[in-house]
Amino acid sequence: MKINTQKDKKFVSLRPASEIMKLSRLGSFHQSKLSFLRSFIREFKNWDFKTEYFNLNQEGFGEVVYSLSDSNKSYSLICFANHLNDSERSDRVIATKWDSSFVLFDGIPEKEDIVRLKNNVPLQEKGRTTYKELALSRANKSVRTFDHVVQSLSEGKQPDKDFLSKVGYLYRTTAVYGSGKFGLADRFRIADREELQGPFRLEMMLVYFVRKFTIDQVNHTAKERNPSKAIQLDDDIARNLGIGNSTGLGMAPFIVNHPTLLHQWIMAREKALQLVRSVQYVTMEEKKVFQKFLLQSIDNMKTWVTDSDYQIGKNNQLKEDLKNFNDYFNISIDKEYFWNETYLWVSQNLHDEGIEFIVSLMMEPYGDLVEPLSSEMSIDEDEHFTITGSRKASEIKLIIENHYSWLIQVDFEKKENISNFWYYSKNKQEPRLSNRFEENGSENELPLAIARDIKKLYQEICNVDPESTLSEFLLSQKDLRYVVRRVLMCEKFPYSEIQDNTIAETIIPIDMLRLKLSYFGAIKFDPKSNLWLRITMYQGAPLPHEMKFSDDSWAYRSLI
Amino acid sequence: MESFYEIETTCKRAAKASGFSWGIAEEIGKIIRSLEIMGLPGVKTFYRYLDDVKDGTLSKPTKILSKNIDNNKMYCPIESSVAILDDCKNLFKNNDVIDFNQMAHPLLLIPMLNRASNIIGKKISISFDNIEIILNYNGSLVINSKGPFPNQTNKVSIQSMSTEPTYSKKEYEDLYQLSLETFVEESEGKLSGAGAGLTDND
Repeated sequence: MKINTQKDKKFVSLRPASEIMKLSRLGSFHQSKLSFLRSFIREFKNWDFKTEYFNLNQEGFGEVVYSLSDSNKSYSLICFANHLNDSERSDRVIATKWDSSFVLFDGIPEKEDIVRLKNNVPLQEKGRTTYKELALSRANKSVRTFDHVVQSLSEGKQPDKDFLSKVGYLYRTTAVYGSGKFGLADRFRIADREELQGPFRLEMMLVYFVRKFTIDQVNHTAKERNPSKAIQLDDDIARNLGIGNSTGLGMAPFIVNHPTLLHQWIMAREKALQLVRSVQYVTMEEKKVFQKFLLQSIDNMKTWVTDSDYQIGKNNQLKEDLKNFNDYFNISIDKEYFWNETYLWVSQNLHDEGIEFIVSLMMEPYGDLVEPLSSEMSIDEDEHFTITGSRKASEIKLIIENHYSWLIQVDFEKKENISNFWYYSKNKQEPRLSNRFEENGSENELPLAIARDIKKLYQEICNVDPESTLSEFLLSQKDLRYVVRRVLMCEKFPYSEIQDNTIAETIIPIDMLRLKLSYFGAIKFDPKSNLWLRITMYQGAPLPHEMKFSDDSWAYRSLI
Repeated sequence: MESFYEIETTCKRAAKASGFSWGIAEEIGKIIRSLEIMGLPGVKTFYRYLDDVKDGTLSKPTKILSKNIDNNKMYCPIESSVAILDDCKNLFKNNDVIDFNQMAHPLLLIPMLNRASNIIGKKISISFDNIEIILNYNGSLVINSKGPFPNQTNKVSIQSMSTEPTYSKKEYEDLYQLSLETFVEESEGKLSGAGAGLTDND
């Protein structure tokens, strides 16, 4: 591979925010080399995995502790499994009991830590953790799948792969908390650890361990049920089981509330695309890698099961697009800047899902170029929080015209453009989206109506002396302070703002969820409504004893 | 004990519920978090401050002057320090003193003025009652009191400080001369050890 030079890179521009930051495009992103699950495994592949403590009873209830260590540092997952009646099982955030609960511990826990955490972790939000604990989670069984696997293994046979392929996991997490929530360690305590530089590393670690736990639990329970006949779950089957997750609106405000972080994520992807498009000569090997993963993906799509008409439509369109692309790719001629030519064809001939799917695939042959970008995906958000009060009103007006031109023509007096409001439900402690003309509570609206409020800022700033400063403006316009901050951020971080009206009648909230989940590394999106969806994580990923020998291509491994 | 994330989030939401805009509420969350990280009673002070907010007894400055006088109400430390931070480059240009004739909960001034100190690259001093606080532009601070801190004060003075050395010219010069004793005297033989040769013209 000819390494691109600065001169080559300038030949291809970054894609503009006006093209990428529409929700319909963001909601079409797919996992890639930059996904957090994959970068987690790359980072920790040479660490040592160990089961420190295993104490499950006949029914698979009790405690287990796993650790991941290198010569300097250890992280442990402590798992608590208990009996749960079917009637008590709920994926809603208001649930108070779960099949299992988990906490990621900084180091190796002492006995007294485990005792303390046993009294708190199963209580989740109602319990307390300390700075020694890094992440917290809980999960429920996919009961049919779990029971089927245990029964099969106890009878001395492997479970039905076709049956498993319809679900793809034994357990579903319903929340994963970190960064200081419920007493957990604040981010600053771990901010300087090199192995945790990538986003959500601790949460990805927790989910990876939980997957191991689910496999150990089925093996143990099967053995206890029938010690003489039970067998262990085959590694090939175990590898194709991931961890499910039910993701609701709780995740949606995140990408609005962390604008500079969102920019870093998007920028890394756009830089990766720019680098690949700037590769002057493609080798046969690089093309082969790409095509292998393309065909594997088309095959794996058969396991993308959903009842959602919306997602079925998107999946079918993607299948059609990939078929057309494959036909094009098979006859495409090698030439200079092959990937740039390929991208230009894709951008003119495929739909959003197809375009972004191919963008992800294009990164696969170029680990050396793309993987280092993972370390650029975090940011100290506080560094960009302070408003520069000396900026002039005329400058703010110009920034809005340059970066938010799309919203200047939107009429926010029209009902359909302000039909929704975001809020936190007092009873359910979760974000909600409701119709402001049909429901009460809009006086407690969350600051997520960015487009509407920036339009208001624009109208106000057009009415003041252009030479007046922001400090003067803000003395009388305190309500607009939070969007002034965002506008100043967007000037330096152009991918920080979703370029869509998040309170419009036409908003599809799962597009916001899809964006974050694609960066997590989720595949198989299964919307259950416009407001929540099921996904699977780590399906196909190496098992802990395989990590050291793994390569990054597991995301394309053939699934059940 | 709550994490700093929880403190920031709860105080931000409590501020919004108390009538502040989201933009100011965001600042308040970070103010209280900063105080607690410094080991100062941020949550306690904010809790008492909100009583004053509820009673409507605080004054919001419409413009920061060198002498800010309100004979009817205590100045609000949040609104005052936000306004100072927003205009800090101008206000601290000539190291003029900024006085408030009375202020509630002056401890709450510290975090915003700390950020101002970082922006202007100069130390800022805050004094009220017998308490002196020096904010260093690297985020650290020096304070001559462990508390308790007053709920209100009859004068607050804020001033940026030009950086003056704490040592005399002679003291520095003497140290410098001493440091030269770690160097080695040149000789003809040693000259060839210089990378560029005997002259700089190769």
